[in-house]
Amino acid sequence: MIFVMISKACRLMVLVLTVILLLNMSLLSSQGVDVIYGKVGGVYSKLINLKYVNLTNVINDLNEVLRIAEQCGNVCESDVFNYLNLRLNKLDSLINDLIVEDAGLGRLETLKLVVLGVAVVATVVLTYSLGPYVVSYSWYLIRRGFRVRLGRRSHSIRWWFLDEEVVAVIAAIAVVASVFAIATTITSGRVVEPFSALGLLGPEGKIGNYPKEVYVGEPVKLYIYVDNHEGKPMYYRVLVKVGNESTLVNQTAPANLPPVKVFNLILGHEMNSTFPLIVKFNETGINVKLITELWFYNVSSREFQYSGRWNHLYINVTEVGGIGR
Amino acid sequence: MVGDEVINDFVRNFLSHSKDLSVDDLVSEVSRRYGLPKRKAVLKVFRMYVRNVIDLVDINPPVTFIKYLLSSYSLWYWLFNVVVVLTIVTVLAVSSESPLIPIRYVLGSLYVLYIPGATLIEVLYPKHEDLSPLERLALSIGLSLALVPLVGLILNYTPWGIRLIPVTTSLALLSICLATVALYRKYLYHKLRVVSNSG
Repeated sequence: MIFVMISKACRLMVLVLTVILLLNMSLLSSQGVDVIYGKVGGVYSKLINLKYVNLTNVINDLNEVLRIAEQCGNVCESDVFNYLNLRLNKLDSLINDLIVEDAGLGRLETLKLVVLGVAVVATVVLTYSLGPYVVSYSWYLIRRGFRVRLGRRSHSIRWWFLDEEVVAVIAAIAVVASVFAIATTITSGRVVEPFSALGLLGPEGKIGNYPKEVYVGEPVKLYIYVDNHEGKPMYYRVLVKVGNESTLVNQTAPANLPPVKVFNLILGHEMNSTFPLIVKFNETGINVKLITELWFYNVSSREFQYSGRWNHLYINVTEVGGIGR
Repeated sequence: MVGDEVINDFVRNFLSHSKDLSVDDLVSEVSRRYGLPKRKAVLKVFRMYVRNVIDLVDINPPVTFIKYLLSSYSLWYWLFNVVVVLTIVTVLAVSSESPLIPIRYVLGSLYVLYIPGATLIEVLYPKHEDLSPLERLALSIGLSLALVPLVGLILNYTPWGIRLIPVTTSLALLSICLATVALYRKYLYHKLRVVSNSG
C-alpha cells in the first residue's frame, strides 16, 4: 500500500517537474520585443548628450537592431533576442567610451576658442604697436633714393587710409562687425526652431498619386517620411492606425486606436528616412482613415510621447468587383 | 621721446639750407641728431611725408606707361589685383565648414561693398587732393552699393544668370578694368607733373 502511494507520489512529482520544465523552456524560447525597445531607449538616453563625436555608425547600428526586432513581431525567438541583447550591450559599452572621448573633444573645443581669442588680441596689439614701423619702413625701402624738399603745408593726409576720421569710421565698422561675429560664434550649432516632420508619400515615394479606392485584402504600398531637425538625435516611433471619419486625431491627442503597424527608428540631427508602408484593409468602408502618428522617446519618463505630428489618408475600401472599380 | 613738432621745425630749417638731400640722408640726420634708432627715425620722416611737411621728388621718374606700370607708383594697383585674386580664390575654395571662413567673409565684404566703388572713385578723382579721405571712403562704399546691383541687373539678362561664379567674375572684371583706367589717368597726371617739374 505504502509502495503504491510512494509510486503515485513519484509519478506526480515527475509530472509536476516536467510541466515546470516545459513552462521554463517555453519562456526561454521567446522574449518580449519590448525589452529590446526599452534597452534601445536606455542606450539612446546616453547618446543624446554627446555633442562632439560622430554618432552616425552608432545610430546605424541601433537602427539595424530595431529593424531586426521589428521582424520579430511581439515576441522574439531566444537566439534572436540573445543576439540583439549582445549587440546592445556592445553598443552600450561603445557609448561609454564615446562619452569619455566627447568630454575630451569638448575640452579641445574650449581650448581652440581660448587660443583663437588670444590670437585675435595678440594680432590687434601687434598691429597697433608694430604696424606703423612696418608701413613706414616699407615706404622707406621704396622711396629711399628720392630727393626731399619742403612740403606745401596742406592739411590733408597724403595717404587717405591714415586719416584720423577714416580710421575712426573703419574702427566703428570693425566694432559693429565683431559684435555680429561673436554673436554668430556663440549661436552657431544651435537650432533656433527645432521640429520633426512626418510625411506620407504615394506609391512612387513622392507626393501625389495617393490611392483613393482599394479592394479588401489588397496590399496598399505607401511611403513614410520622417525628418529630424530637433538639434539632437531622436528615437522615433511611427504608429499606423486604421479608423474612420469619426476617428479624432489632432496635434494634442493621438487617435484612440491600437496600431496596426509600428516602426521604430533613430535619426540624427538633419537626418531623414523614407521607408515603405504596406497595409491591407480587412473590412470594407467609405472614407476609411489611414492614420500615421509620430511619437518620440522621452528620456525623462522613459516612454514614448506623442509629438503632435500626424498624417491621414481617406481611402474607400470595397469588395472585389465592387462599384466604381 | 622727442616731439614731432620739434623734429618738423628742425627738418624745415635743415631743408631750407640743404639741397639734393635724399630720404636716406634725412633719416640718417634725424637719427644722428636726436639719438633715435633707425626705425623710429624712419617713422618720424614717414609721418612728415604723410602730413605734407616734406615732399619727395623722383630724380628718375618713369616716362612711359609700361615703366609707370612696373614702378613703385603702381604698387597700389598690383596690391589691389592681389586682393581681387585672393578674394576669388577664397570664395571658390573655402567652404562654409572651413575654419578659414572668417577670411572669406572679410574679403567678400570688401569685394562687394568697397572695391568696385573705390576703383570708380579713383577713375573719377585720380588726384588725392580732389577729395578728402573721408569723402573718398564714403563715396567708395556708396558707389559700390550702386554698382553691384547694376552688375546683377545686367547678369540677369545673360545666359549665366546671377550665380556665384558669374557674379564673382563680373565684379573682378569690372574692378580690374576700372583700376586700369584709374592707373592710366594717374599716369597722365604723373607725366604732367614730370614735364612741369623739368620745365
